[in-house]
Amino acid sequence: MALMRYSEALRMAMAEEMERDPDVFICGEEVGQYQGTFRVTEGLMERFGPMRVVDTPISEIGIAGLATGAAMAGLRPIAEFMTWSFALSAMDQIINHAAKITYMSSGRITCPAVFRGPAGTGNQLSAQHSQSLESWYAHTPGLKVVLPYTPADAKGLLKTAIRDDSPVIFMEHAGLYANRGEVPEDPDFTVPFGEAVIRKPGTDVTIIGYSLMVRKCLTAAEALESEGISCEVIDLRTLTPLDMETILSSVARTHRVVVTQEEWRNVGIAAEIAARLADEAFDELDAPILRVGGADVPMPYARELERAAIPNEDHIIEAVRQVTR
Amino acid sequence: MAEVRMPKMGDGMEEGTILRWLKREGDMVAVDESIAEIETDKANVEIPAEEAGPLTRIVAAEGETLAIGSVIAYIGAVPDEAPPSAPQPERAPATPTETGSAAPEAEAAPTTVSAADGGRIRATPLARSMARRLGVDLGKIRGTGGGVGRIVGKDVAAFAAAQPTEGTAKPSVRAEQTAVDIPLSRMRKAIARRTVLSKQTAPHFYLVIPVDMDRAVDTLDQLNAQAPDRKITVNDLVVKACAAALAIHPDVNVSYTEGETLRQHAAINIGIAVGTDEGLRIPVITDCADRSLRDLSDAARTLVGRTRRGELTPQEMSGATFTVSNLGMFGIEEFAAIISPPEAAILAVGAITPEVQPGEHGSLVVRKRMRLTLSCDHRAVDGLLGARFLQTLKGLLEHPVALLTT
Repeated sequence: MALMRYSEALRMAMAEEMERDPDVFICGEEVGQYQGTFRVTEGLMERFGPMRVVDTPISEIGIAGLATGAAMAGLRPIAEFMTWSFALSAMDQIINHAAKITYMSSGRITCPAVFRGPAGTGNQLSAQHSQSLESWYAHTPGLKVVLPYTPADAKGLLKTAIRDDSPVIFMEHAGLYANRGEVPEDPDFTVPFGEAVIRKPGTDVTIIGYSLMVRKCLTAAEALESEGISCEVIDLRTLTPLDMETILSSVARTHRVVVTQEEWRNVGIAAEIAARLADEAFDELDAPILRVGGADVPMPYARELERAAIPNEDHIIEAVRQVTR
Repeated sequence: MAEVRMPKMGDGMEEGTILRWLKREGDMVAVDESIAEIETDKANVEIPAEEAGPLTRIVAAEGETLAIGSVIAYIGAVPDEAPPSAPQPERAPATPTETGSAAPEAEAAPTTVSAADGGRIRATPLARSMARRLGVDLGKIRGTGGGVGRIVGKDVAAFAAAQPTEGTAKPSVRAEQTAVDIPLSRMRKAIARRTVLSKQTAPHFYLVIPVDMDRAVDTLDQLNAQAPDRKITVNDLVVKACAAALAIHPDVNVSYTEGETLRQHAAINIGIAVGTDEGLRIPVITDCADRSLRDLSDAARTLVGRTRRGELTPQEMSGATFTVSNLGMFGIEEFAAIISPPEAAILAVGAITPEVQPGEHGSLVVRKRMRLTLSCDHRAVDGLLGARFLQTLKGLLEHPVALLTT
């Protein structure tokens, strides 16, 4: 184990996989000579050369097309988007090609590409650069959607993503890059998809989150502890595949659920989880399932308005109080 | 017109007896004014009027025992066509009158408003599935959830736990001329029902641990020399130690429920068994986790005093998550207590007696020893957990300074 930042854990995962498999390469804007906007690819061009760390023109659809085509041809590309907000112009490649080619070719062609980059809201980046869009991808069959919270998960899940034969949407919250945590140095360490983890056990309410929301869930749970409310906090880690088993077994103990997401509250993954719980755990529910999500507005620039639009600890605490009333 | 009904005054109450009417037919009564005194399993309490108006008809006679929810009187108009004892007569608007100011002690008595009022019963899916599984009628349960009186899982569990289990003991039919059959008091019946329920449903096992009380006794002597009129007893110290040990081992502060869950209680509420001539009563010290030794001691003194004077309210006897029973003052060296459902354990405290023990270098020393016996419900607490809990308790009592600083 070594103490390192989330961004360093990602770099370690990519370097290890590039050592392990010569088919793995990185492409994206400013990933080589500039070493990445968030320094995630720092030192990798020097180490692996410009054939495997490829600086691309400023064209997201070009990056996604390059990665999709290379993956179909047998390579394992890691395409970096400078932010996921910029990836919207690459949606046709991701949704219409990468996600569907395995199905359309009856499994003869796979697309083992990883699309990764910073995501999430905050820092007064305003409407076009501060948003969470993971449910768009989770909605699409053929994609796997991964959002690690801890540095160890960042490493283990990215390695699993690179080795996976499906296209993987890998979203790194910009607010987590500087987080430090213990990370296994073992090059064989991976974290499987579809396994949520209980970050804090509890008995009264299950709070579900992922990515940066897990931190807010844990802070809320700690505050609620002093009110005598014991919260279990689940970190989903991957939205597709979704680990309903862990959620269901938790709800069978607590009978109350608050589902959180940073993205807009309307038509998000939280609504999907709530609906599945209503289907599969109906008899276990002892209170309405509540969702905590972002305000359904384009992200405001003004600091106070932004604060009101991004879901925070207080929103979670209020929802938990409501379901335990 | 308002019906006055037999109220539910505590966990486990199913029926009550009218001791006496404090008002007569035709008297005007104000909101919250006491109109009758009733006897429940645990205490005698006064029923406050929920509406103002004339007490037009009394339908339950003094001495009569009725199920909770039964109509016992009417305030305001009584429909002629409705027989006095008929349940659910037609509703009519209340007679407005000036409100009184009398606020008797029983003001905190819960009303019998049912979640069923107005047609469909408001209950969560969990409550419904539990009720199906337990064969419980949701219509009889008062909901507490969601801020709207919705029936939630714990309401069903509490209701089911309060139901009598099928009795197995048949009373002896052989009448002896020299014997006198004394009718059971309600408290005697309640004790009988609760202990049988406990022994029949909770598999008990018992753990005994000796505790060296020399330091504890010294500490109490010093404290009590400073404040002789607010004496802290050994039992107070044991209660404080239990609160601390339960905070360390929340797995003991639990209830096994028929809903196939283990309910871990957030609050540490410790019942203290108090023997009276009428029978056993267990007043409850609430939220012990946050209280100092002095605070716990004051609370215990007040509650024991109220118990002996028969002033306990049902609220003061509800909600315990753990109980301490102490017969040390009678010279009982050790004993095993019966768990008070739905708690998972009870601590029986024996007398402090001098004992000779092996000291250093083959010498003999005399130490003050006290034996603690923990009765555990094996459905909720295993031997290992019980043993760890007792070890913690022993450590706290043998080094009592920690109990003085929190």
